[in-house]
Amino acid sequence: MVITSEVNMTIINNISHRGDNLLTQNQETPKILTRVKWLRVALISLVLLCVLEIWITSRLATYGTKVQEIQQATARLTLENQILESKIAEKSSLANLEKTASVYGFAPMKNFDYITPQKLAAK
Amino acid sequence: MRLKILKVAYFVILFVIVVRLFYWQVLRFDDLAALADEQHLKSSTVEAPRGQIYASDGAILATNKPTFLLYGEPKVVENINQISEQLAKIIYPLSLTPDQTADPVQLNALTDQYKQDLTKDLYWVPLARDLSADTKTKIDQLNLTGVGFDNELSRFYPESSSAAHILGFVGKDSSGQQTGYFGIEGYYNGDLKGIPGITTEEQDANGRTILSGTYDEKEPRPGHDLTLNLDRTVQYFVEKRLKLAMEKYGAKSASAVVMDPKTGAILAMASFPNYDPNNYYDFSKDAYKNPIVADSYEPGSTFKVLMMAAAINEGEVTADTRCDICDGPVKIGSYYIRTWNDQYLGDLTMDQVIIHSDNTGMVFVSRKLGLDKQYQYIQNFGFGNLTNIDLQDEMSPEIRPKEQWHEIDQATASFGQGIAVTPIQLVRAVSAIANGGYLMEPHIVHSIDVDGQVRIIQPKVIRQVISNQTAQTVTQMMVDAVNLGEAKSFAPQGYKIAGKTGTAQIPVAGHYDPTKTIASFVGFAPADSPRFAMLVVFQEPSASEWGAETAAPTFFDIAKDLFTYYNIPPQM
Repeated sequence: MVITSEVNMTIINNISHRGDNLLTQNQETPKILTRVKWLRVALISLVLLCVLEIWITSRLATYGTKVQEIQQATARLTLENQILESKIAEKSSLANLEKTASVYGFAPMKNFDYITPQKLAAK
Repeated sequence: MRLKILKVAYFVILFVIVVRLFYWQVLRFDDLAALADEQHLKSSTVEAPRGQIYASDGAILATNKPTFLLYGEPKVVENINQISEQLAKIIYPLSLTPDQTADPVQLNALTDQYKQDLTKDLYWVPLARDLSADTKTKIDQLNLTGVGFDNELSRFYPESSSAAHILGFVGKDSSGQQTGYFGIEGYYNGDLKGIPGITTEEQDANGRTILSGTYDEKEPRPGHDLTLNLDRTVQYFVEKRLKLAMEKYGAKSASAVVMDPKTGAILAMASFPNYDPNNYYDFSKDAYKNPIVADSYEPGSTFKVLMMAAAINEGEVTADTRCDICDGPVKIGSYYIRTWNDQYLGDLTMDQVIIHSDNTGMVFVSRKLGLDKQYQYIQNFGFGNLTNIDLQDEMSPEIRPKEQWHEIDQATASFGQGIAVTPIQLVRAVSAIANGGYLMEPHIVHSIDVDGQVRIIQPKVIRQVISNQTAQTVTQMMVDAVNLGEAKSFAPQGYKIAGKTGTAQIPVAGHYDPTKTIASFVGFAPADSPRFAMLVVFQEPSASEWGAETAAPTFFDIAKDLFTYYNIPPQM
């Protein structure tokens, strides 16, 4: 009989422990759910960040093409500038000016006279 | 047992892997990193533009012109025959001078050359160099596959051969770098060349820049720009008159230099024969040398004014002192000093000695001066030393030590024989008479632009050689020489010009050749307030050996141009 009561006590104790556990489990479930929720959020964020980084890196890599285009445009304009500067220098040379002047009918003067104050006074 | 064997095998393999990893990742790290960098890091040198050279009026004398190297890609090019013919048709005419006509044989040879180049087992072959932008445009319009252009900067001189001896030229040194030779390009090469830049960037497999990758840029620093004292218009007058005169008088060569006596600024400098620095390689190397700073000659009678100035400055003679040995040739040892025309007027004043260019009168002067003082004044006037003009190829002939001089050397030096000078030394010395007695350092460059800051080169006084009063006395003597001497018929009317003719024999193998002379004229004007000092030299003029009949008229022609240009009316 004692054994039965001991068994009963054990059973009761077990039941009560389980009950306690169940109670504890019931109390801990919302916490676990919250944690799981945050874990999911973190995982999704991580995946999104990875995707974002891949996308940004990919865009940056393709921007290399645009950088190259801008560099080429700059080089082209610099070259055009240099060509024009050298053409201006060539056109401004005295030999070229002399040719142009003769085309327009200019000729070196041969005789000239200085008008001095004395000459004016004499007149 | 089997497990043990497996365990051991496992650890052995693991150990081998770790060792290999250590080998590749630690021991070979540097090599592999360098290899990786080589594959995806590209460095390119950015050439620094060479500094420009300007005349005093801001006109460009030397600049950088883009030129193009045409290359072919044999692995890519198609229709080699057609492309070769098209290219040859455009490029061949560029090699012809205006008076040449096209030669079909040469055109075919060029076409064959291109075919040969484009069939080589290479990825890249050069086809033509130094093509202009216009030629590149013509070739671009053909839309040829497998040809392209690399551009580079070539030195360009818009004024062509004008001022060639002042400017020098740019060529390549032994390592293929652009380097200046002779003249300003050579002297200021360090300032002009600049510092090249380097660009290092990471590129992908297709050669495109990776923006997020490594990028390092060191900007090229352009060379410094120079502004010269050279007046382009004065240079033009001098070259035009000098060239005409050289042909008229049948001279082997001719030189002229114009200097501002107050500052030492070189306003013009010309020599013939000259060359075109745009294609210097088409000319003889002898033409590169600037005779005004790099060649010496015996100055002859132009030297007399300096020795006279020395004697007057020492108080040994005055303009009115009379020569008591001028009634005949002067005997010195076994030599006889004679006048240029073997006529002896006797009892000449010092003024008349200069007017008549009397050698015996100068012997009188040198005896009054004495060897010590004469030698000292030769040195004081700058002879025997470099003038330090900023041109690369200057030289100075040595003056023999005084101890080696004999009486005959002292005598002949008094009238400019037996002593060698460069033209720049002589015009600088005479400028000391023009500016009141001060020996100036001659300068080509007026200012240097260093990264936006302009550094002006100030006039430099070397020393005072003679007093202002002596300078005025000798100036008057030189004016009298122009108005009353052998060249008086060529002098322009109404202007006070100070000058002296010179006709020096040329020493050949220990004696003087009686048939060959160096004819010269040195002077400055207006005498009272000189704007310019000038020297004109002809080597072996065949029309007349005398300076009074060759160099003097040329001097006066240039002077007339300068009077007009500087708006100097007649003073008399």
